[in-house]
Amino acid sequence: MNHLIQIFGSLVAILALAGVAARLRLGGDRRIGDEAEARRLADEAVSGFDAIDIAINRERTAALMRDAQGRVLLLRRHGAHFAGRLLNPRAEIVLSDDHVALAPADRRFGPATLIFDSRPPEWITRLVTAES
Amino acid sequence: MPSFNPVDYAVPAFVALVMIEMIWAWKARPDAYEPKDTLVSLAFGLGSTVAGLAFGGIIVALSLWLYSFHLLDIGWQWWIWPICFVLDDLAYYWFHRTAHRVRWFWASHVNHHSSQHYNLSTALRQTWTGFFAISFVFRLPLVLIGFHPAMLAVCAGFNLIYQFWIHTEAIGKMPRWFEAVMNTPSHHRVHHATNPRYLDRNYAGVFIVWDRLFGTFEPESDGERIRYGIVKQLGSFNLLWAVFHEWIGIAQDVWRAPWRHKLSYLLREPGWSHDGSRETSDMIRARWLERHPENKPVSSKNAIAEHGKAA
Repeated sequence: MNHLIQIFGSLVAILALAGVAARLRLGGDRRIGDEAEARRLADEAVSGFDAIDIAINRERTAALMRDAQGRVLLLRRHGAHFAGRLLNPRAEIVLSDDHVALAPADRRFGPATLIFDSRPPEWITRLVTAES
Repeated sequence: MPSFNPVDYAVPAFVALVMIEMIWAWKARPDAYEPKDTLVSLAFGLGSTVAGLAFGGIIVALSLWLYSFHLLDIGWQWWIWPICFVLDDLAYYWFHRTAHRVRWFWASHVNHHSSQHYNLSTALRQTWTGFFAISFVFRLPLVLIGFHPAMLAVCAGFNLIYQFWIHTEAIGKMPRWFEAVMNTPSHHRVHHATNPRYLDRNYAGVFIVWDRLFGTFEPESDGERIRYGIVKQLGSFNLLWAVFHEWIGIAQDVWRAPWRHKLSYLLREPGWSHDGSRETSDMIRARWLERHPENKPVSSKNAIAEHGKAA
């Protein structure tokens, strides 16, 4: 019985603390400031990734980057931080006007749709596996 | 066996301190917390408690059985307690070092490192699968020596309580004498960092002297912004994925690997692969040092670290 009370009390405390964090709007609204920041975030996501081509989405919450070796990195916001995945040949990349919809091979990372101000740069359009 | 568990009494203080740190974050560092991340961390803590209730009895029974073969009659004198605490912390150091260097143990311990945040809620992000990983074996030698399992359990509880307060960015550095001997927020920030310089460093629980002694110490560098989490960030707030992702990864790797390499996916360091397609922390650090030769880590100056590649 004591254990049940302990677990129930912990559950209430957990929900209360998460509620306080949400109420205080902790976490903020993180965006990619500029290409220099995108480059730094890419190096953090994959140590040594030195982006030479950078395409940041309109919302500045995600970016596609390519390095000199031809590796392509998808960087996207995750909470108050960013997380990235290198896109391997099994990734699905669908182009539609100003949209690029990506599904990395690592399905748990989740899909991402990047909307750009104009048609994405040529190096991205060459990556697409399908157009819609 | 006495059932006193100091952690039970510390939980209200944990909750209060998380609340206080949230208010600090609200005033000074809003990005230090993120509601979904906090929820996942705290759910980890609750699940870990449930797992402890489910499997703790087996560990107690095993420990008491082993104690019947103990070598020394150490007893319960007051001065035995600090000795037990220090030796238990040494056992923790080796458990923790192994948990970062052997993928089987890492699969359980990675839970604690899976947040990209470093705050007091991260301290509560404890594993659900520690029993399955047989993490408890590292304390069993002390039982065989003659420390009563109940005494060890109390010491382990206080060890865990100590480690709570060091999971924060709200505290800079403690006085020099304290930083020299004790594990601190500064030392433990290094441990949770994914910066190549800091990977697999500072395994201490309570006393940082073990890292200094065994060549795995790295001080926090003022000029280097720390990023937290794991080398390949999860990018997901799915609790079950966070709990089991490394176990699933091991299962997939063992299934796919040639027979002669299967065991290595259990016992080699995280990031090891038989075809060299992935990177271990040592490989990441070596590449980083090639790019930044001016940044010689402190731990590489220690002869033991050169051999142990620890950490």
